[in-house]
Amino acid sequence: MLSRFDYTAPVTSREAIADLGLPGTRPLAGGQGLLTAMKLGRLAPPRIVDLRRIPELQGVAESPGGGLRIGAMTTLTQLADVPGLPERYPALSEAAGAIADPQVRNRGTVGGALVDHFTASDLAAALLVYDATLDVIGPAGARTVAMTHFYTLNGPDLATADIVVAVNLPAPVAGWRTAYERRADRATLAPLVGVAVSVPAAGGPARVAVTGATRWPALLADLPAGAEGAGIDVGPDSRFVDDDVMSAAYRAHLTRTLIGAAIRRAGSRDA
Amino acid sequence: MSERVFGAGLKPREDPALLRGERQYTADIALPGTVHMEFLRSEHGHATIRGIDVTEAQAMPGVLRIVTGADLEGHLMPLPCIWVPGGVESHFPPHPYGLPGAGTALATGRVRFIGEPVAAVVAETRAQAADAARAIRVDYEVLPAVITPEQALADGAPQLHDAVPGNLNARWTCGDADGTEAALAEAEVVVKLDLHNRRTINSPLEPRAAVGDYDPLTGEYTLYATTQSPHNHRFLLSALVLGIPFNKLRVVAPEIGGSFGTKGYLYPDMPLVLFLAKELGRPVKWQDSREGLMCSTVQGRDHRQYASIAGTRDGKITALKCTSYANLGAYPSTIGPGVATALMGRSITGTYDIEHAFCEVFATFTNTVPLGAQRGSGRAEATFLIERLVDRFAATIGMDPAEVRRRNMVRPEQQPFDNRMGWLYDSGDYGAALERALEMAGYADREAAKRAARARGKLLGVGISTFVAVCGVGPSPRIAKEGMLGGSWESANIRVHPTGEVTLTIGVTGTGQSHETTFAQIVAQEFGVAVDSVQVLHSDTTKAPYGQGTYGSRSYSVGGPAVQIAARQVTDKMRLAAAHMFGVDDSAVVFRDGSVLVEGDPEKTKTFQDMAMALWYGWDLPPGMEPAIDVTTTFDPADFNYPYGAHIAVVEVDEVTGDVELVRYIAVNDVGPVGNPLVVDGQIEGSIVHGVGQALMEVAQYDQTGALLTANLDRYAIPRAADVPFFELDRMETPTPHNPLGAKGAGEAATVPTAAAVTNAVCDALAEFGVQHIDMPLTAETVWRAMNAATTSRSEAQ
Repeated sequence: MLSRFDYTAPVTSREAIADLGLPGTRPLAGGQGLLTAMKLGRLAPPRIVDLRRIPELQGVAESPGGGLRIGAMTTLTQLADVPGLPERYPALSEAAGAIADPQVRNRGTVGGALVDHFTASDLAAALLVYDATLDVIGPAGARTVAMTHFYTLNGPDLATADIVVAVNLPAPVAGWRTAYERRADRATLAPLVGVAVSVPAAGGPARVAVTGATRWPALLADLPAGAEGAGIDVGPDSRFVDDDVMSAAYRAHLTRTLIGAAIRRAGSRDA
Repeated sequence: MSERVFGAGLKPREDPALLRGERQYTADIALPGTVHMEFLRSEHGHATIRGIDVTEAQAMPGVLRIVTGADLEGHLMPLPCIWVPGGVESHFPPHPYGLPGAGTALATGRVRFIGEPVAAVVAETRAQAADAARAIRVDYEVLPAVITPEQALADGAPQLHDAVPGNLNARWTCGDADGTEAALAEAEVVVKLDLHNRRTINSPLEPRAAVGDYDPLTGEYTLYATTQSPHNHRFLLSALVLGIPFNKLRVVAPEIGGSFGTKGYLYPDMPLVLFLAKELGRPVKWQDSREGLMCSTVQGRDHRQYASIAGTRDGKITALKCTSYANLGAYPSTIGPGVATALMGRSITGTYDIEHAFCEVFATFTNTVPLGAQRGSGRAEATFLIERLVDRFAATIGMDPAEVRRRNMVRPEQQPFDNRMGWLYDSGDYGAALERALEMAGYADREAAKRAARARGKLLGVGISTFVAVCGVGPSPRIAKEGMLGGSWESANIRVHPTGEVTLTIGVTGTGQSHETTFAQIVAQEFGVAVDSVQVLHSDTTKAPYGQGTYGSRSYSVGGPAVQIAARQVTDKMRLAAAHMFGVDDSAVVFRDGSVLVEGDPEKTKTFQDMAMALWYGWDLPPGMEPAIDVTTTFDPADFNYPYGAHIAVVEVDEVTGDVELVRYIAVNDVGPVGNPLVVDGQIEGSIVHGVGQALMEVAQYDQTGALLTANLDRYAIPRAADVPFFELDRMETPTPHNPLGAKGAGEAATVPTAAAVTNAVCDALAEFGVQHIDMPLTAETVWRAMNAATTSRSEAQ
């Protein structure tokens, strides 16, 4: 049961920022987190600002450097359906297609997945290994934030009324192969461990990002070529989440296992 | 009509409308002027209520009435519990009629589990009622809680009920205590195993709901509710809770979206919507949410079992002993104590002939949600115990677990077989079911399959579980001896209309089992008429003949015979009337394929429709015969019935992660002759998924204060379609001698062995690590830890 709230659906980001400045206001993207939390009584915001009518948050476009600009309101299904995505950005394609279930992917958005579901964001891990950046706009103006700096101890690096406008994905780097592996929670289907890797075909250290298992999505230290099994260094268990669902030790073990699997799969792709 | 309708896999006639959402569930009922009730539930596992302040809530928009426990005194009696553990001393919360009580509809003075209703708010809208419930201020003094039976029974433990010393409802026993102790002492081999069959939460698609209505002109109440026992609940609510005449309460069960046993219980909302409908002069509706269901609808399983099995080195089992601590929750649910005692304890010998067996159950109250049925209740917990023990015994003596089973199973020539614990098994060839399952599974080739899996980094395990499950509750005198305060017969009414169409009204209530199709098939077969001409009505106490409810796999195996007997009374009446009309002795007339006829005399034949019309007009009937066709029968079976079978699970465990994948599932079941195999196979597949859920993922978790950690489906995992393989099913059909259809319970039987089959398979896969047992659920981490612990302890020992 939803509690009573005010609702606006502005058509410009400037209006949205103004509306979001009122205390207690929450932005609405695909609603897969917010509406569920409201129905369960876990959140009861007095005001909701729907971002769906703002044109600059929409659509996926080729960017001048050969990459992609992905509007934050792009649904996960739309993202997975971008022509050529599996060939150009395999890890991102796999992450987008793995989230929850088709109904959630039809409504859930890229922005929501990065901001609202950041603790277990499949997309975040993939975007980290591609060195993506985010366009953010807010009361202080527009800025660009690297994914590697977006998550902090206090959550996503967003001030009140800031809106993620788009994800900028650089052109694929020639000679690097990527893959995404995850282990879903049986109840929520969110990743208890999600791992994105980018491996140089010519040999050399792999780039590895992890989500779900750690308090926020993060790049791990580059992994030396040839590391396997227990030799995959993911840092101390204490950096992993420890809760009733899964212990930190097992999350660390799964992370090592999935990194190994992702590297093998990435390595088996055509460069 | 020559084609057999009975036994045909007809598609359920009710499904298209159900799938399109066109049938009416309780929550769909919208009587004019309906107002809405919401509960304020306890947020503590155990606390004294020092005061309740409704001032702010009462003033909120739309609020019509707020009631607390004190407001109900003198109006509603406590709910009754109607299954007392048989033959032993027992202690219960009070009820004014001297029956066991099951707590008041709203808490009075104290809350004993999280989710216990403390206040009920009625408002114009559901949202207003929910808002106001949140505004009620309760002054709690939190008390220490007990979560497990062993905590509850400990010296100095917090006490839940004044009338229940030491939190012990009953110490229930069955079997031969002395003989079992002696056999254990003398045995060549004794294997002990401690098991925790943990608590589970039922997850039907539809949470519970209730609508109460009251007519001041007639003084009649109507309850529309998610009840699988409308007649029985009519009796309990009118006589034992509301204190009104039976014929002033009508109970209607609309469509029910799954139950698995949970909707056969009385719940506080049922009397409350009726009481408040009268008070307010308006219909009152309550519908639960998923999170409400998880903390208030009866939960399942929950036994801590300490067991020993004994036998000879050549594989003969000689004794079995179990001491179990059963967790009844904070209050006895309507039939909860019987589930935890007799249904479990009498079933522990399984399909085996064990000379000395004994079981004792300490049925205990704790600060958790009340315990009740879950598909296969009691029998599943017993089967898990014996089937795990047989595997451990086999491993200890170094014998193939299939061979140990062969050497100990009840043989067909021993039927009917007294299992020495209170059940008289009725029929069947348990060994044949096992051999068929072994053959289907390719059991003889399992070592090759293990090697092939190993090459892929997988540890393959094969787990056998056989079962026999008491079902088809039951003969009324027998169930009385078991301590149940109720009858357990069923009834059916058949009206044949003048035009030859038929209306069958049954006493049982479906919760999604396609009753309207299967029961029509019985009648169509008997009458030789088109199945579509048979209408099936049910579940409204003013229209349906009495019935005792849908539980214990009894709808078809107890209600079905009542239908068949009624149908045969109809055809016999037609035969007698036709003999009179033909002017022949009735012995010369037969009813066959939809006609009455005299063999060898084609002139003397009349159709079913002819006879329906003739009896409607009543112009030319034998002396003393009443016109029209309107027959009601009741059927009380001679004894329970005992479906059985053998299941085999094949799992692959990932040697690195501990992930368990169920790769094959073979199930051979004998539920007697089957009315509709499509429906029965659906029941069997659903039952297996239920058991797989408990084996691999489902567990209700409480913290030490009584807070339910798995409070919603985001924390309580249930199986999805992708978690199970395509099932490999086969069926044997041995009729039970205890009803004319020969039918045995089918709705829950296949859940009974499943968790044991899967667990046996996982333990088989891990045998090389020295793993002897893992308690469910077998999550990847649990399995990984078991592998590592065994490896570590072995390397330390070296």
